[in-house]
Amino acid sequence: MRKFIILSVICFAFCSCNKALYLHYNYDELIYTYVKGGWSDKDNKKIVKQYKKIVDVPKGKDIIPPPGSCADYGFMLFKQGDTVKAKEYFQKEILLYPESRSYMNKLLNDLDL
Amino acid sequence: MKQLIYLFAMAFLFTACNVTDKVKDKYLKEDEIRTEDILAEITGEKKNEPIKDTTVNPISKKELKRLAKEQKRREKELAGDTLNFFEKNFPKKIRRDSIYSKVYKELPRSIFVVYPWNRSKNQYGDKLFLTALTKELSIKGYYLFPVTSLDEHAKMDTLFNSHWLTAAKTPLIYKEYGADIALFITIFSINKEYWSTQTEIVADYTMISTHTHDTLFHRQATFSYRSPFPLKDKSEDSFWESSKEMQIYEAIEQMQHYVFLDFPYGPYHKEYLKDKKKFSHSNYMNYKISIIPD
Repeated sequence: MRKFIILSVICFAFCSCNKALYLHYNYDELIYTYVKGGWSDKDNKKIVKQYKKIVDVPKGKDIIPPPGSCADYGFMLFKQGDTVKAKEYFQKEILLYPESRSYMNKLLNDLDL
Repeated sequence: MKQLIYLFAMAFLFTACNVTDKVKDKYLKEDEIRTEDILAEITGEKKNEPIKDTTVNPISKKELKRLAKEQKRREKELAGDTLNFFEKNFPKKIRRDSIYSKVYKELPRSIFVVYPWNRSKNQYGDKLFLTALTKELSIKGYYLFPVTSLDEHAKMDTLFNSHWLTAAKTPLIYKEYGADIALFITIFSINKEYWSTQTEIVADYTMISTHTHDTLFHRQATFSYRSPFPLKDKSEDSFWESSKEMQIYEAIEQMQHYVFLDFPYGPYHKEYLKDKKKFSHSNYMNYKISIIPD
């Protein structure tokens, strides 16, 4: 009986823990390095590869990637020349966050996608 | 010999009993009065009447303290400092719905961070701010626009920043980006000496509604942050250029957290519209925060 009580208390404590809205992984480091520029092609590939995790393996309360991250990833892919996947991620951003619709449409137009 | 002893004894008595002074006081005063009388007779002027001593009641220590306190209070009032100790140290709780009434009325969903105007000596201050702000406000539950494309836009158009894009152009931001709020940032300074773990940042934040042009939020913050010691070394996989860069970013990140601490939660947060009664700072505020983590 005592074990059961302890177990339920532990379970309750874990359940009541606040889960963050999004899991950013090393978002700030990657984005900052990307916008700062001056990286080699090898570094660029490494950044994009690590960034993929933020978009494709989302964690957090709603299990969706943080706002703007899909568009960021799409933009990175576009810069690498992968226009098909880039468009896919821009559209994913619109799906996840309808507030981005006007900007994404403008971006798709500007990038001729 | 006997006479000498008597003489010494007399001299000792005179000095010990202060007899000389008493004799002086008595006879000299009489002499003074007499000379004044004679002078008055000769000159024909009236003699000055001696002022009689009034009765003086000594003030008690308690009374003295009370008077000093009252004097201090009057001085404070004259200086415009009217709050008492408790009002000063434990200010009344300000509710968010009173300070951010416009935010709760408009219910914005997205924030457009206008590229920061970097007036500091740190070359990458604007990029560091943009990254940290996007992360912080997205955690608050708002939609933030992608950093990479905004940065690309700023690189191509140098007028695309908080200096040149003024508040008057907010409708344009709504039209082109569909953002509900435009956030203008001016970075005044980012100081980090190489011998110190302390980083000092001064920045100004203004949020303007793209629908009504109202200022929803304004803060000018001086933020002082001391990084934990010993310093974190950057790992081999890390993209940070140096540990100094890491420390500056850490300070900027902490600053965003404290500046937007009382800002209402956005639509993606579970506390959305439930935080109206929570604590808030004043809407327009200049403040200085010093953080020394354990």
